[in-house]
Amino acid sequence: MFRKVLIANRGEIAVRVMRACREMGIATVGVYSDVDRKALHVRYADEAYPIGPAPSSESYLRIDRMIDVARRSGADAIHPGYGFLAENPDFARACEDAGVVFIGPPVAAMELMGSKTASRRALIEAGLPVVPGTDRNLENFVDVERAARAIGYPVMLKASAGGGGKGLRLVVSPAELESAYRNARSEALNAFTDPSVYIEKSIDRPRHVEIQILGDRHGNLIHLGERECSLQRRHQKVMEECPSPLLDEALRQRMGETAVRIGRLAGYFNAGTVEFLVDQHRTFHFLEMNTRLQVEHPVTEMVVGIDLVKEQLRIAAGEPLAWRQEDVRLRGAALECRIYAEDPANNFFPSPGVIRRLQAARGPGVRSDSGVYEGWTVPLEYDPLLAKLVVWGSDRAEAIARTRRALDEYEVFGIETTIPFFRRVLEHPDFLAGRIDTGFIDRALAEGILSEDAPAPELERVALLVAALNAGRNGPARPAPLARESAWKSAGREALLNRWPRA
Amino acid sequence: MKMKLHLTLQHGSRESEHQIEFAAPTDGAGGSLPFILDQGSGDADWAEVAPGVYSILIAGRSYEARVAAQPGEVAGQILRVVTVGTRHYRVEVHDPRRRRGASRAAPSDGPQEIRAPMPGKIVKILVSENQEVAQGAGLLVIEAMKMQNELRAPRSGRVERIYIAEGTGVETGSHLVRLV
Repeated sequence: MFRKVLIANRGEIAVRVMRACREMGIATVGVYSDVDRKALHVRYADEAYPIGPAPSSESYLRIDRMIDVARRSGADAIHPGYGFLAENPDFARACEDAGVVFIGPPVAAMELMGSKTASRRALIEAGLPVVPGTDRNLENFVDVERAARAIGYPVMLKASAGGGGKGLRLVVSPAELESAYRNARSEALNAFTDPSVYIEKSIDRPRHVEIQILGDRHGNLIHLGERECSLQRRHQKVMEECPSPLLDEALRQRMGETAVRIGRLAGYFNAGTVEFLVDQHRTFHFLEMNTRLQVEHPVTEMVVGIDLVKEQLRIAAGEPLAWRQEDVRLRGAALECRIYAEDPANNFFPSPGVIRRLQAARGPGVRSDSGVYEGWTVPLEYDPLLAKLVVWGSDRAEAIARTRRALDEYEVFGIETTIPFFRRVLEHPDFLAGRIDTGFIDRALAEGILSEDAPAPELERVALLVAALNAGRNGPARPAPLARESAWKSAGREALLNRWPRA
Repeated sequence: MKMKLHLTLQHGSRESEHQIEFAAPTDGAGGSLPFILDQGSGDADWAEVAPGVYSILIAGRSYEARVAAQPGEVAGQILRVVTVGTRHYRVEVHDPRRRRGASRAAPSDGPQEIRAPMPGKIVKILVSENQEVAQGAGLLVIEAMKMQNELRAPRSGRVERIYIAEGTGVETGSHLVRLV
């Protein structure tokens, strides 16, 4: 087993991976950019090294700096987390060259699955179900137009080097195609340095259901059931659950076996996720494969009872899997809410700033994977994920009731978060009935799911009493001054933000 | 000593005025508090359980309220944000004794300078000068934190000035729009 692991990431996932290492007696090495010096993962790590200025391209994406830190610290393995360098084959190769184990799949699998067109082609040749569309990159507008016509509108224009819900354009009619093509290409070029695009049929009201696979280096490859990730805003997942309310045992088995076949096709080992779109006829189609640990892995962990990060470490160290497919059982249900520093009442505008108060939810069945703490300043440069609230219940109804209870307990002051939005989703009849698809959130927002609360006179009375009591005293209870934060600066920032309090 | 206060309560888009009367507590940590609120009266038992955190019992019901100062308080004003359960209320307390320089201008009156809350780039301006806007109307789209975000009017009014153009890069605090 490894003695020391470098976690090439930040935020909640870095802390989560470090926790697994701690439990296994493995020393942890963290890295930080200039704005992350006081970050939770730095405080948690056994060793920590600076890796550059705030922009990711100058820090968390710098392969040379990661390898350098691995050398200096004597780490024998690197865990890439998710995002950043996690699916970068050059990084995996650089680790190999430096004699450091990359905790993940083989480079060839990353390369195959990293190209959406190459992976589609491989699956089509193997007779596996994919979303109808092209299997080649489309080089010019003429090809794009011809393909769109052949597939039939509406179509999705997608970046071949893209993933994670980025680089997508829905095209409903031929008139929109040209500008969609130009924009998609330039977005793809900027985000992935590769302008290649391809086309898929846009499925009506699809559900996003993904299968977790896990394989060792000795040829054992199993699946650990599914996650439903249909609750997305602008193609970004916000809430996930395990199991999917849609699947029965038969469909789970078929999708699981297909996912394992896809993994074998790629020569896969370690943890990975095969994503499918399921249409209204319960037919599933391969969407893409993510050759890394996913953000939402905790819902699987809580239902299947397996620590996926520890399994990643064991697999990378050459150990065989301790389970066979028949050992895998799904028990109960889990729900994850991604708590983002965004203001739902203000069109989900990012809400960076100082977290003045943070009290995570606790109690039975509640797991909070957080990358932040009270007093921390949420930086601008990275994805605004603060924490994941993951809740387990003996069935979906209990998981939902428990999540509502947990959200009510979760206190975050000083910045806005998506917590109020989740409360509304958990009251929506379609969500409660499991009638969800990838358009659910956008429709719910358009229909006014974030409308104001009805008045609550009892609570108003208490607010008035307390304000009167407090005003009569020497002054409000100001939060303890934060070390080294100028009161002028924080007052100035609050005045600029000039927001009304949110319900 | 009898306290008689006039209060303005704001929650979301709703605002209301209230009158409260009670005897100023002699014990700083809590106790019994009979009160008259608007047309009704009641009996509360209050306790400050932690700085700014109050436990209030009324007719057996238990409430927890957390008080914070409201930024933007000017001299003579008493503004509090009171969180009860999951709701945030903004309360302005008008003490008849504190008249000195009291400015009744709540942020909803008077011209409002809307500034950039973070560095970014203006990608689209959705309004024009002299346009009337409703609260919540989109004013402009700013690209920040890798996403495009629509900045909305915090209250209704008229767009008096637009300080930027599409394509302008802005810093935190840059003037964007003046709303009157």
